[in-house]
Amino acid sequence: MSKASMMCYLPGIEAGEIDKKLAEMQALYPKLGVCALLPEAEKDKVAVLQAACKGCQVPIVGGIFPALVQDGHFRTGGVWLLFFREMPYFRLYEDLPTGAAEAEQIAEKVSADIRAQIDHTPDMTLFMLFDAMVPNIGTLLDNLYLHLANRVHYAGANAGSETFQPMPCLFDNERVIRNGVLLLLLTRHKGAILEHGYHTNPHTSYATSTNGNCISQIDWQPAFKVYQDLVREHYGEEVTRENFYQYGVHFPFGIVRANHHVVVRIPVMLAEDGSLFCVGEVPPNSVLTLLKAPTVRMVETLHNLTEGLKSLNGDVSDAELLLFYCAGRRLHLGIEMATTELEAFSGLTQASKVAGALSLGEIGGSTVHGYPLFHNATLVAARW
Amino acid sequence: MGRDDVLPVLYDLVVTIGSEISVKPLLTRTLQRLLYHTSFSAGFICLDVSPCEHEGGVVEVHLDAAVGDFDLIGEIGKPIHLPCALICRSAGREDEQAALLSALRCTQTQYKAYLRLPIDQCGVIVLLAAEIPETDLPLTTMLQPVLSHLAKAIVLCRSNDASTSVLVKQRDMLEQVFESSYSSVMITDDQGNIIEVNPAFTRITGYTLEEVRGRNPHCMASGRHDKQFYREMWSDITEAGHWEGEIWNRRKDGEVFPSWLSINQIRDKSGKLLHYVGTSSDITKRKEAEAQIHQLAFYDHLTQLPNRRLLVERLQQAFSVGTRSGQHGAVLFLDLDNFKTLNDTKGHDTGDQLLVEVAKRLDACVREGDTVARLGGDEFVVILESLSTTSDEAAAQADMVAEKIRDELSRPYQLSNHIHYSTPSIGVVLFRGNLQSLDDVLKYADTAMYQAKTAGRNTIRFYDPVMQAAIEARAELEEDLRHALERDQLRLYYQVQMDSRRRPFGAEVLLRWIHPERGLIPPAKFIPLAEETGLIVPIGLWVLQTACAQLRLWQSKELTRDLTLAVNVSAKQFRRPDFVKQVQRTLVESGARPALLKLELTESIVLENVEDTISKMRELKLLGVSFSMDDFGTGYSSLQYLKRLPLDQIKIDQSFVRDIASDPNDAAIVQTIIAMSEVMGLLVIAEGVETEEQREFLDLRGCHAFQGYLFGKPVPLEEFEVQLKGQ
Repeated sequence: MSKASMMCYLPGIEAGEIDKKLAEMQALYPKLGVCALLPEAEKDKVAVLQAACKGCQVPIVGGIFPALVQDGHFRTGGVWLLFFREMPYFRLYEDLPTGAAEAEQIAEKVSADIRAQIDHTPDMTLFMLFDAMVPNIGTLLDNLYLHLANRVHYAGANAGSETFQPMPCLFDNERVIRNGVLLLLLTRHKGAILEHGYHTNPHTSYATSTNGNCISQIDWQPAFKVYQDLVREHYGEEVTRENFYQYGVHFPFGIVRANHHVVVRIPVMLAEDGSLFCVGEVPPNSVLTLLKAPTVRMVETLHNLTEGLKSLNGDVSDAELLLFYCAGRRLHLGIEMATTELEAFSGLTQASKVAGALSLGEIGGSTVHGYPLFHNATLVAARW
Repeated sequence: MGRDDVLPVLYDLVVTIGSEISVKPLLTRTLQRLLYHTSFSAGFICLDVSPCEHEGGVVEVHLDAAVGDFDLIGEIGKPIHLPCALICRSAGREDEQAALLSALRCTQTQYKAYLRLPIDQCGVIVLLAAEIPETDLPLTTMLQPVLSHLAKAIVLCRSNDASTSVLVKQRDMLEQVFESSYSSVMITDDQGNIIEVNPAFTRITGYTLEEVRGRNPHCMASGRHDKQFYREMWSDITEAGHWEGEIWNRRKDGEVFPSWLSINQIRDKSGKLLHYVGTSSDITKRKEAEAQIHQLAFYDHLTQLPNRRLLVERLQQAFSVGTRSGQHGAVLFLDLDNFKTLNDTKGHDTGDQLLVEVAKRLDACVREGDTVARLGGDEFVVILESLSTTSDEAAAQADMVAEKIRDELSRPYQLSNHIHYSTPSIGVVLFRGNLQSLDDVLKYADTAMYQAKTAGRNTIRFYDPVMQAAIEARAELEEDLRHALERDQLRLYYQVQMDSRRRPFGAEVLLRWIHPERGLIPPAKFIPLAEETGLIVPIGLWVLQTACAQLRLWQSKELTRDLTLAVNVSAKQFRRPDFVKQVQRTLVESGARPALLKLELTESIVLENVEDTISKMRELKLLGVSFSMDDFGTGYSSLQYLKRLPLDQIKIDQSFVRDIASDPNDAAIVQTIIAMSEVMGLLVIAEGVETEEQREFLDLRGCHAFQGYLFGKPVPLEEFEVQLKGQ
């Protein structure tokens, strides 16, 4: 018997088709579970998926993203059904708190729930799908890490609408929720590889006043003024209040980590007082650098991803891979170049299938078993 | 990280350390930032490390914080033995230390490198990595000022934790008191707007905190208190800082309820008003209990009318009002005619129904402000107030109400499944102010009611002093009668019974009371009294015992040996369950021959409970005692029962005998009685025979036994015995 594919892309979301696929897989794997990825345009079809799975008594979880990734293409229709031979432990948490104390409490509760599931299995990955509208993902990850540390690998992506309009975007068999997180504890899974390929600028500044995802001051000066100076000084471009929204995605900030890794933060909004709002939190006193988009080295990114996957999992040719591709990156590179990057990824890895979605932020460890970080503008790849 | 980054790193660490006020987050956040800046992957902090005793030994420590390693995090707070070489030395950065670091027993990562940073005298930080992160910075010396700063922060945070812990315990305790208090607690700001309530508040009022937050407590006002009430309340709170009292509020569901509320002002040390705190308890149940107690204490359970206690209070009030106004009042004392018969024949439930209906009708007959009370049994009292100042008019007004009551109470009653007719006897007494005592007024009303009863029932009588005196005399007589036996004031008189040949064959014993002051009291005066009061039972027994003792004495004399003695038995005596035994015991104790004892029963005794009568008579007949039916012919004389009774003799009542010669009716009745006795095989005796004519008439018609003045009056024993000898 040939090994069944655990990834299935259905171009149309029809109850009959889904039932047929579920029945086929359930015959092979009686304890079957599903993680479904839906594009935003198909968000109304969640109920169809839930009803089909309920009918077959198959547990289902999933998220709604701006678009799907299917091998070398971005898709705005259809659905990915990613199968588990046996549904792993999962939890859907709704309305995550934003206050510091409450965030600590929920992280403690989530960690306790996860810890109760941890046995002697050596490799476990805490796979997380957040609603992109949750403003304190970085803080929540920090708090989770304080409890779970290096016991699990961390990987994940953010779901939601590309317009950043609030939308219920995470679901299980019964619910479709917003402002929450879907957690899956994958066993015998070695985590994910995350790369962005941006080159750092040797000049660094300091985020001297921040609050969540808002940078008020850089080097004790209004953030927007410093941003204007840096872009002018390093790239000769004049950023004004008017053209800021076109420039932000091409000149993002990088938070420089101690090990020289850079976490990308795309500024997306400018406040009256000159504060800059980014996708993702900027911790106080972060070492900032200005990144220039055209210097994205695509080949290096893809090489690092492929090699990373191999170092984690061995040979991945013919494997089924999961890939989250940042929506901000696609915006910056343009659809054509982004699609090329996807095609190249499929080719380089020689994967039998690449399934995934266009994401609104990505989560990965800084090193193997490393600190979970909330990124922008990256690709996150993992073996399914 | 280059040298240019040193100051920002130190700056970040100092800011991090300065941001924390508690030890645990201080250590964790500092460790996090150190790992961030140095690129080590995990680390832990031990405080209060004991000095090492041996260079190559181990020391017991506690992990106070750990970041980045799941196994070390699991050891936080637990004792762990670590090599002195790792913990106790000066600052240092070492690689290739897998063997030393294996003491940590970390399973997820195999650490080979560490950075040790002693925190002055407080403890040590150890950062761990699988490979030593490259840096050209002198980390140990560079971080020294930060570690000194951390040491001081730890001391401060520990002190803060200790005081916070005390405060938290106090807060938790107060919170628990607040949360678990059975009393409602409401806290407002200085403007009186609600800012906090406890669960008891919600339980009692129905309002949650969200529903009342920011609102004035007046939102629960019931509307039962006027502005003056609240003005006085706030005046107390403002002047004394406190108010306490009963208040009626409204629950969320609209129900108005009473509560006991205490309001206090809360001020700071400078005297500035901060809050008002209202503590209250729902006293609905207490109020209900009080009302119930009041109801039980002052109202009759059956009719819900005021009872005697409340009647007395109301009467006192009426007296006071009358004293001030000069107006008359009236007390109407009511008793239902033949109520006892209804109770006896239809049962108490039906009797109770009648009383309830009477109460309703009475209530409807009077004005608001007048009082209708039930004293007990079938006795009711009505107090009429504010009648005229002149007695004649007041009497007319009272009479009018009494007539109305009589009419109303005489209407038929639908009781269960039958129609009942009842009438009242009403006694009325007027009063004005305190001219008469309360007891007197009630007593006079009672007297008047008796007068009404005597006058033939269904009657209204105003109090008459003459009647009152008679009643009082009766009461005195009753009191004396209670002591008559013990004071040896009772005597038996004997009235001879003779046959046709004027030979005495026996006597009837008759009771006499010789009072030391009143002299001889006629039986008609005290026997009914004895019947009413129940004194007839001990007296009856005394009569029986005395008669039997006399029979025994007579047995030794030829003249008296065969004489019978007829003893009257009262209904109360006969109905006692031990009556047969009592007679038996008396006979045994006295030694009298039972055949000489004749018990005289009245028709009313016999007919009250025929079966019981027959049963008792048969038992006594077996002993040899005989029976005579007294006063025969005066009652219903049901022949059917007569046939079944084991009688020996019928006694023709003196009322028939009196006019036997002149009244053909009486003659016919007597003739019938005699004929009937013959048929039934009964002896017959006529009493009240006073003339020869009567005797002859009776003798001719078959009655051969006589008793009456013609043969002898009832006389004391000595006289009787003399009389016998004379015969």
